[in-house]
Amino acid sequence: MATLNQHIMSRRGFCLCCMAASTVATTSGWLSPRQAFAEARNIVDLIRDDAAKAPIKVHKLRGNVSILEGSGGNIAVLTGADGKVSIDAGITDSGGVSSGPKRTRLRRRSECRNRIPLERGRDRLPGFAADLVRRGVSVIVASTSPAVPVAKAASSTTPIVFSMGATRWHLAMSPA
Amino acid sequence: MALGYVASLSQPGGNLTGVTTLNVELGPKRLEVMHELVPTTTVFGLLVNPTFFVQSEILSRDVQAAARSVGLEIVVLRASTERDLDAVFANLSQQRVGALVVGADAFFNSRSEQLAALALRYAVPSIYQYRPFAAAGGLMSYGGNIAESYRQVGVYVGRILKGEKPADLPVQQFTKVELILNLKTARALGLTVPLTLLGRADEVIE
Repeated sequence: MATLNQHIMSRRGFCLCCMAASTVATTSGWLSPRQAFAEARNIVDLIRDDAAKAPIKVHKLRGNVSILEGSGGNIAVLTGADGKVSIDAGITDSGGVSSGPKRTRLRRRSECRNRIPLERGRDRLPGFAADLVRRGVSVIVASTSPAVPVAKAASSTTPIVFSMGATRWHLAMSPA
Repeated sequence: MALGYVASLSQPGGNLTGVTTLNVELGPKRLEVMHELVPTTTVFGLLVNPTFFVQSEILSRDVQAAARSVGLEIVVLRASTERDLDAVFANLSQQRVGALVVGADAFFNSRSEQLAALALRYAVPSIYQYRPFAAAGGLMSYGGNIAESYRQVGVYVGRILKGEKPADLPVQQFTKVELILNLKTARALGLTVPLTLLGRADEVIE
């Protein structure tokens, strides 16, 4: 004897009773596709909300360097007489944790290194450099040979400090 | 061939200054150190990234000249993607390459662990520029101290934030080099590190 728990399957293997239940749910207003989509929140909003609630622990390293541990990646902070420098690759809301008479934020755009292979990431360097200039950073640090010409092309006024393997003739117009 | 990033090293001018470490100049020296460790090997591979054509050509020229002077043969191997790296290592034995010198390059820097793993898998004694290669299981590294150069970058950033101009801060070149040996890898490859090399190592990873 067939029990009530048995599902009625279509010729192609779909469960007809589940399909009927889904149709009722969506058309009767319980969970319309539009509402379901509206309920879904993007990952940045979720991170921001979580960051706003999460406690921030301060770990002193050495000298005047500390690490702020929050809901996401850690933020390094250098404290000095002029204010604080925070190195933060996170989203913008994290900036609220730092304050002082003079605050300079260094945006680290080499974060793509861990996610995008360098051979593809190189194409994105001009965009990253332009973004840094647009944000009005105080200094751009250009690490490795590919980043230096890109940073130089992005701005002729923003100070750039590079670190690269290079010969002296490689760098200078004249080896004075 | 000069790139002209700065007007001069003592007074860079413009908005750019920084720190350099020795790079292609150390290619022949890496070959010498590797040859000291595997004296019976006569065919060495030189891995370069053709994306940076000028740099890879200069390195190839210098290392080949050094190899000729001591009767060694160099096979130049080119890689600019992860897939290229796999293919290069897979073909080493076919090309009779007994040891590998990895050219200094930003792409190779970012693939230190992959390079070390491939060298171990194919049992090829290899030398690279920076410590992370040896720390990841590569046999040796010989090059500048990257942590020290980044520290100096931090000092320059601090001075600029305090009001100094990059145009007035001379480009600094670090000439200190360090030799890092991974003895565990040496043992795995069946190599005996000569005392003369062991004594010169700045760090030995066991």
